[in-house]
Amino acid sequence: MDYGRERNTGDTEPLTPAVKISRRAMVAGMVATTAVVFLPLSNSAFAKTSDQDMMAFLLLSSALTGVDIKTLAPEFSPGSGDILSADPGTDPIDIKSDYFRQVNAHGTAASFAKLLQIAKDNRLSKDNIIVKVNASDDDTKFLARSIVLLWYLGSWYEPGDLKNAAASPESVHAPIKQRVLSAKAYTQGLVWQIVGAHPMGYSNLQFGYWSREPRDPNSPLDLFSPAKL
Amino acid sequence: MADNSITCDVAIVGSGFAGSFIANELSRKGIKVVILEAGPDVQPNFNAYMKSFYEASSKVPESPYPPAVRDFKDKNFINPKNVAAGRPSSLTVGGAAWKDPGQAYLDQSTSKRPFKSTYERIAGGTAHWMGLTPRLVPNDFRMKTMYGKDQSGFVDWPIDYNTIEPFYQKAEAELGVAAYVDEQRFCGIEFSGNYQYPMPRIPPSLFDQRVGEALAHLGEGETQFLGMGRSVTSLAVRSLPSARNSQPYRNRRACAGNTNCIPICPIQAKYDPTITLNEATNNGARLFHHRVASQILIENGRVSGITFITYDREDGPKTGSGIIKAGVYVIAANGIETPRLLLMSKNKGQTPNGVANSSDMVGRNLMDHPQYLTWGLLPQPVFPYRGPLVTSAIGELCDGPFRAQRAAFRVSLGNEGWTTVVGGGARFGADPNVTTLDFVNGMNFSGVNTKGLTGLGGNNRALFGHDLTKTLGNLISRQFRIAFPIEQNPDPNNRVTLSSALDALGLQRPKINYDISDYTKQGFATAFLLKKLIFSKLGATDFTSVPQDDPAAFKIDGTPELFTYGGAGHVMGTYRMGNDSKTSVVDGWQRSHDHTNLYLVGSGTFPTVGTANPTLTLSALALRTVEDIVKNFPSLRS
Amino acid sequence: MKLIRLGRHTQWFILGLGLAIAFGLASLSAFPTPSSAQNTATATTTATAATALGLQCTSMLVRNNPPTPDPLKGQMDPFLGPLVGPSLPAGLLPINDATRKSIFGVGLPCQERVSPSGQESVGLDNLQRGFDFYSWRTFIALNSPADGTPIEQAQADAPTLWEDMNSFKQLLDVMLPATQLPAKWPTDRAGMEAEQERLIPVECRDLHQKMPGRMIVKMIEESFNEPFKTGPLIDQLGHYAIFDILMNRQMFDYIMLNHLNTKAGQAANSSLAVDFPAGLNLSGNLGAFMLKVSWKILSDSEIQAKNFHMVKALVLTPGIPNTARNCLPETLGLVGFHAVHKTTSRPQWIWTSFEHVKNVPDRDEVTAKKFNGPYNFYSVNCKGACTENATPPRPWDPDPALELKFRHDDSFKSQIVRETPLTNAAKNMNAIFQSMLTNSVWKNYMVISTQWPSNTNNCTKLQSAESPDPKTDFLKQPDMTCSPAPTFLANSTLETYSQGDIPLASSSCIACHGNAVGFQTSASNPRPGKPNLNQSDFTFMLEKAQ
Repeated sequence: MDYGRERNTGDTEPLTPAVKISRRAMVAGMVATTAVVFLPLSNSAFAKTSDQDMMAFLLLSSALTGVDIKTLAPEFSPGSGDILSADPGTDPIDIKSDYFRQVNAHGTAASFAKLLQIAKDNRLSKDNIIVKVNASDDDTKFLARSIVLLWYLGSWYEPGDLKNAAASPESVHAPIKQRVLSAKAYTQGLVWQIVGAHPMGYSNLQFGYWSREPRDPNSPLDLFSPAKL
Repeated sequence: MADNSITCDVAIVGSGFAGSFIANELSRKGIKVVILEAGPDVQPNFNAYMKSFYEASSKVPESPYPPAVRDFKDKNFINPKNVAAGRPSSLTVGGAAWKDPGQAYLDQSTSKRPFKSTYERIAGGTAHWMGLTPRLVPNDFRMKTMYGKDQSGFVDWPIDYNTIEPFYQKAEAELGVAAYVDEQRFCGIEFSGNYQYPMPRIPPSLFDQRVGEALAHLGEGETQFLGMGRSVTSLAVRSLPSARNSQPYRNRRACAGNTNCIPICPIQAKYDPTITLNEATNNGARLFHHRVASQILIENGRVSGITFITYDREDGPKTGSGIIKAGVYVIAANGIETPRLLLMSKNKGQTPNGVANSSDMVGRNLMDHPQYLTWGLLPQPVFPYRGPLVTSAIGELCDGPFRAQRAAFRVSLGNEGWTTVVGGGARFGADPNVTTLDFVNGMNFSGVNTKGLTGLGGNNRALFGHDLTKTLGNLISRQFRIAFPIEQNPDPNNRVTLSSALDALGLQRPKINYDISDYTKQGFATAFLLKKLIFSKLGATDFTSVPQDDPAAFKIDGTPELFTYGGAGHVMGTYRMGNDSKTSVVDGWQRSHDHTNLYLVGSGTFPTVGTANPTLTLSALALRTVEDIVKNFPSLRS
Repeated sequence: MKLIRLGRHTQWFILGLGLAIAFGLASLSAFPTPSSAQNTATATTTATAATALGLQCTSMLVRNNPPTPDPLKGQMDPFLGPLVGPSLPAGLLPINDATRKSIFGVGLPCQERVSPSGQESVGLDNLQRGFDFYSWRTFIALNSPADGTPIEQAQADAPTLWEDMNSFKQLLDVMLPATQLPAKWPTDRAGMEAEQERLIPVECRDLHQKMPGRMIVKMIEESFNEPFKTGPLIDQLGHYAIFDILMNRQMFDYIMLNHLNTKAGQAANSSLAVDFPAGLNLSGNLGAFMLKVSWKILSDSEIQAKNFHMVKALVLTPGIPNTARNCLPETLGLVGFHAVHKTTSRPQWIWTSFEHVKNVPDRDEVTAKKFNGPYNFYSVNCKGACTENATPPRPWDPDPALELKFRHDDSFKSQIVRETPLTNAAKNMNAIFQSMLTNSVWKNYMVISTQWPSNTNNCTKLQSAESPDPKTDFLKQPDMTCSPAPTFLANSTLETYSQGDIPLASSSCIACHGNAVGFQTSASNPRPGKPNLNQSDFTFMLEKAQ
């Protein structure tokens, strides 16, 4: 028995509304961990990040990025009921909140609302989410791409810039404008993990690792299965 | 003593590798040393540099370091006339900017081709270096004797490999070099005594291993074009000696493979000169930062002082001025800033061609190692973006009879995938951003979003979900790049002069005229053939390309191929050493022929450049110069 | 797995304690024994005898009296109400005597007990609270007087349990030059004293005769220059702060058994994947434990005032080429305390840091000019060199003539500000403990935070079929730091100049210690089924081998 690993798996009682406090306040209380600054979100339909909206955002992001929700939100716990009522969790880095806030402030409210609705309506099928996103209007579709790029690179690309570049690539003569969201966001970019590496300038690996395959050659699992990506 | 009138035993301009090494050695002997540094002081930690780097959209070599290159708000290039202690930027070495002194620090408005290398002006100097420390090989020091036809411009160094060898060892200890001597004995390299490098070698990457296997068995006929004068049936991939800890060394951590050597190692496992600079100041040397040397004063044929300008803010203006007086003066400001200072020093018309310039060689023979950059996809994943940026190279092609006809080169294996080369040379940004953008937004700037490569239904596909992770995971993990740093032969018309364009302190900025010779171009031609051989042995698909409007682009007579080059960050040759004061600026000890109390150090003294990264050699030469200073000026140690 | 309720937990452990001791002995005999020329026949008995010595730990829970009802939901501290708010829950204080006695008497925890459920609304906050409580328990146990006096009655100069030669050994007494006989840690006190005598530096022998019983602090560069040569810390009286590093028996035993105490030994043992023993409640085993402490040289009036835990010491100044070393009798006051404990559930170790409450103001206090000085390393009315958090001017090496004063004219004193204020939860936890220590010097100490690896999803496991996409490097050769919480942590006396929130550049215990390697000549090979952790297992001690 391992007492250090008591996790809320499966059978935990969901927190009762009486005890539950706005997560924003909670996260703001943990100032020591991250330099998260809460800016007021005026004129936004999503001034309050409810758990439901965050879950929808995570479901949307997981479907679009192809990355498991537990990688996007390490403290996520599915719970026993509807996935939308699950607890997105709070982890020390909490990059999902930074991204949600960014999209909320910079994507048009209408497009973001549509994307979250697509996720809610199709929450049991990642494939359906993708189909619906691809079938939506340009604003919505390109916002979805901005969201993927946020998760993959930690950088914000304006949906409008993406749309112009996609429409006439020959007009692009320089890197498409982007803004690295923050030092933290850069270090959380997922594309590096996807290719078996780490963000350049941010490695938590050990000396000599580059001399070995990312997949552990000693693991019995890999002796017989081809490299799966 | 006020800070604007400084007296000391030895005054050093510049706190980079050479300046810090000399300051450290001299102050350990009790000699009073003052260093003038144009840029800001040593930082207490890397917070500011790393924040700047992480948040930069273009992670170019200068991205962590001040001064800023782009305006914070409108993102346009800051006009260098509004920068107090500016330096070239990697962002302005191409396109339209390179010829525009309103955008680029170096005035290349009349240059045939762009000089693409950059440097830093901060305490510790060019800390963005890669960290590679190979030695020059014996024949590099005697190019004229061995290979020199008159047209090549080659000269011999006034010293040879054996003379510098013990100083290589000393420099390797200070830098903390990781390598095995057994692996480094090629092209005549020898090690005196029972020398062992300070630390074990850096382990090779997966790509290094792949290339080594591919080139282990070659046919004689396949390699004849190399002109090595001997049969070549294999090409050895060897670890490159690097100033990169493979063990704890002098209170610094070992490499954790941050893959970020250029521009900055977040954990200082890669040596940078602030390490030695801090030792120097701990031993009594004094560092004065934000002080730009403006003129070297000459009286009766000797240096009598150096004036400097002070400033506070990156955009200036000048806040004051001062003068430093010493028994001995050392200029260690790098291969462009040193000649700039020498040429600026007109002494009211007494030295109209600048100081130390009776030979007219100051500023001439500017050389880089133009890089032939090639890249492609391997048939199987090799997992780039892991480990130091470069761990191994093929070194043994750096010398041979062919040097009578064409430039030598090394073959540097890159672990950073396509980050600097994608889309025709980082024109659309760097990878993985470009390839990721391609597949998210349905574009093809990387060249890989094609039906044939992806196995998907068409070109320019835009993907989500599992298709996206699978495609990116597959394609990006197969990226590789190979660079061939190619020797340049000396050409007096490649030179640094003074521009009429000024900086924010009112000083004339450097003007550059630069081109590459047929000799060097023939090196490219051979490298091209070697590339084809290596790529074919690897089973690689070639993605090397050159944008049509690249100002560096060139063709080689008789071949249809279009080439271009990248800068290696090596700034060499501009105040070369030699025995003849008519054709050289300093002697073998790096002492000026013209002024007995003036030393000029750094890679500007290299008469020829071979194919090795210059840092180790310039550091070894700096240590040797210390001996000359101490010998010629015994009264310094009072 | 059902949430384990407090009651059942306790029941199990009353039963299990006896089992645990038996289990503990059995498993400890398999543990490394001090390396010596002894044959293995005696090794087991030596191990058994050794377990009675050395720092002991407990798997007992703190009891709340009267027992608290269910709303505690599995948390391990007995305090009712959330602590993340700006103030303490009403009615929480004073803590009743029985509860206090239980907390102060229960002893050093063998392993953390934390849970994401509890009285805070966010799982992470409950876990952090659990770790901070575990840290206070650790601090109390280690700093309790060695003679058994309860800590709430401790005199300022009462020698503590951790200072006892049976509990911890200084790093420099372990990493001896190859020319000296290797270190040993006898099981009897006479033997331990003889070993200490052997290692007393020659410069200190005279004073040691005249002033026996003093702590010997041998200074090297790291004793005054913060990690990676980031700079010395100069107090408001112009003296260097002094740093020392110590390890417990289990760490020592592992090092000696595997010949990690010399460079040559490490190089010869290159196939070893360094893996220090880990604490486990089940077996009652403490595991590896290391300390890093910072001291301030106290003036006469500071000694009188008794606001610091004090130790009489002989301090050997660092060796600078061509100068003799002095041995200085000083009274040292504790200003900083890192306690690092490896447990089976947290193989990245658990890192906690304490400070004296009057070290420095934090950034908020400085901005609001709401000071609570006088401070050890900050002057409210600073004149002269007042740039905050600036490193001292060079040279940094102590001048032997100045006897650990930084400058003859006191022209420089460090002006330090804590950039990241303590969280409300930490402040409240401190207030609770300080309220229980009102009559003791230990009320002048506070926890800054506890850093612990938070991501146990798949972080320390090798890949399995259940690993979520993308199944890549971070999961196979995992991000071995496993998302430390909080992300950054700095002690104002020990990581003074690298405070901040920039990844890799700013101080984070686990991220930085994750880079620690030794002198093994190859990267250790991963073993199937075991986490492929860092070459020197998160400690820089191995690189100090000679």
